[in-house]
Formats: sequence, structure tokens, C-alpha cells
Amino acid sequence: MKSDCEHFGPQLNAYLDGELPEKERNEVEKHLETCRSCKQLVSELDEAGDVIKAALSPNSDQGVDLTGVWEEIETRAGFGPTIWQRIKSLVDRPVVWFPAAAATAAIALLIFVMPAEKTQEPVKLSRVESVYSQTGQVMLLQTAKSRRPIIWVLPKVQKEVGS
Amino acid sequence: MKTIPLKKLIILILCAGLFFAGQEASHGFSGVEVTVEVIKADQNSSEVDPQLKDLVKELSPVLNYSGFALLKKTALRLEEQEKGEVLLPSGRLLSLQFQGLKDNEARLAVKILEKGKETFRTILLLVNKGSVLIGGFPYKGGFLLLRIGGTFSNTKGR
Repeated sequence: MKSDCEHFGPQLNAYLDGELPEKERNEVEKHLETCRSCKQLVSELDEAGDVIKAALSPNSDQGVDLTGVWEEIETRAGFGPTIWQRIKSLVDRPVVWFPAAAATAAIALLIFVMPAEKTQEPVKLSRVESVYSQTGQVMLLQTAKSRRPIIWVLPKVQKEVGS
Repeated sequence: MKTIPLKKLIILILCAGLFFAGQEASHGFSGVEVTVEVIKADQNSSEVDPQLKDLVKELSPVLNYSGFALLKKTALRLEEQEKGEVLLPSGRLLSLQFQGLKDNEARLAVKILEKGKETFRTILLLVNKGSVLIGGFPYKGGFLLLRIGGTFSNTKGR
């Protein structure tokens, strides 16, 4: 019996698909009448074939969810998120921004402010280069706090009589 | 990905353009803005113009005057070698010439003319936002005091 099953086993698919010549089909049917295990196998193959036909049928009410299938493939294959998805996930997490902003501010402070303080020149003050007055008398002063220059023109000195 | 609507994008570009145009305009002037304050100082009054309070506080240890009145305040924008004039009380004329920037100092030639005759002249080297005081010209029982200040961009003449 077992040797019959080994002989007919490979032909069962062709039998279900109606691809066997009449003579061989009759032989398979004859065997199936006596072999319970082969009959059960034929029954299972037939059910599986119905499911596949339903899934691939263009008129099927249940359309194939290609996106879902692809996601499932990606998950199982372990591809992981793309670079863009990784960047987006970082941006979407607000907690990342606080340390990032603080670090940027610290770097900006180090780059721009600190060298400026180091290279700060001594405070320059306004100056008077030259002065001329018709009276011939000019006093140069400075304010106490800001050391702002003051030019004070004095009146002409009256010449003493007989000098 | 979220896209910016075209209208918003155009407005954004226009705003940016205006901002940079404004920046350029404010930095475009290469001369000096000179401010002249004409003040009367005397010993007969104790009134101090509120606008001069900081100056009076600074001057009181140096000059013995109690009354300070702001007679005139003028601002002039002078390009290099350009001259400007300010009419002073009792027929005096203040003439200013910006002679250029060097080492972050604006060189300003100042003259005072009375009846067309030069009675006083000086060359001032002003730092940015700095000023110099010139006084001692008799006026109505007191003296005229001029505060001449200059504001300029430090990018030139370094």
C-alpha cells in the first residue's frame, strides 16, 4: 500500500488540476477508493487550492492589502526605519530639542562672545587735536567721570596801560 | 511631509527681502551723524533743562554754573569732506566739516564765525557716540556751551 502511495503521491496535484490522462486518472481514483491517507491528502490539497484561488481572484471582495503585506515583509526581514524616518522621529521628540538648543547656545557663546571679551580694546575717548581762538586764550578741561573734553574759550586779556 | 502654501512662502520671501533691504540701508551710510546741542549756561538762575540733567551732573564739579537751558538741538548727516552749518544765537555761525574716519575716530573740523570772521576753530577726533564740549562765548549774561557729538559706523577706516 505504501509503495502505491509513493507512486501516486506526486500525481495527486496533477489529478486535482485535471491534468492527468484518462488512464492514469482512473488508476488514481481507484487507489483513492482504497487509501484513506491519500484521500485525506487530496481533500487538504483541494481546500488549499480553493483558498489560493479566492485570494488571487480579481473578482474577490477581499482585496490584497499590499501596504500591509510590505510592512509585514519589512518587519520580518528586519530592514528597520529609513534615514528620513529616523530624522523625523528625532524631530518629533520635543525632549531632544532642549539639550540641543542648550548645546548650540553654549557653542555660540564660546565662539562669538568669549573671544570678543578677550580681544576687547581699551576704551577710546574723544580727543581735541588742535584749537585756535581769536582771544588767544583757551582752557582745556575734562569732565570727571566720562573724561569728556571741554574747550573753554576765555575772554581776551586787556593789555595793561603802559606795559 | 508638510508643505508651505505658496501664499505664505511669497509673504515670507517679501518679509526677508524687506529685512535685508533695511539692514543694507542702515549700513549704507558711510559718513557721520553729527548732533549739535546749543546750551546757555549762567550763574543767575538755577533752572536746568530736563534733557541736560545728566550733562549738568557731569559738569558741576568742573564748571561753576547753576542754570542750563537747551536753546537748540540739530542733527547733521555729513559724508566725507562734506560741510554743514548751524546758526548760533547772536549772529554766530558754527561750521562743521567731516574730514574722514581713521582708527575708529571721526575727524571733524569745527569753526565759529562772527560777522563772517573766523573767531574760533578746532579739530575734534570723535569716537563713535562720543562728544566734546565747547564753551565760553558770551551770551545774554551767560555763556554759550556747545555739545558736539558724532555717531558713525566703525566698519570703515580700521
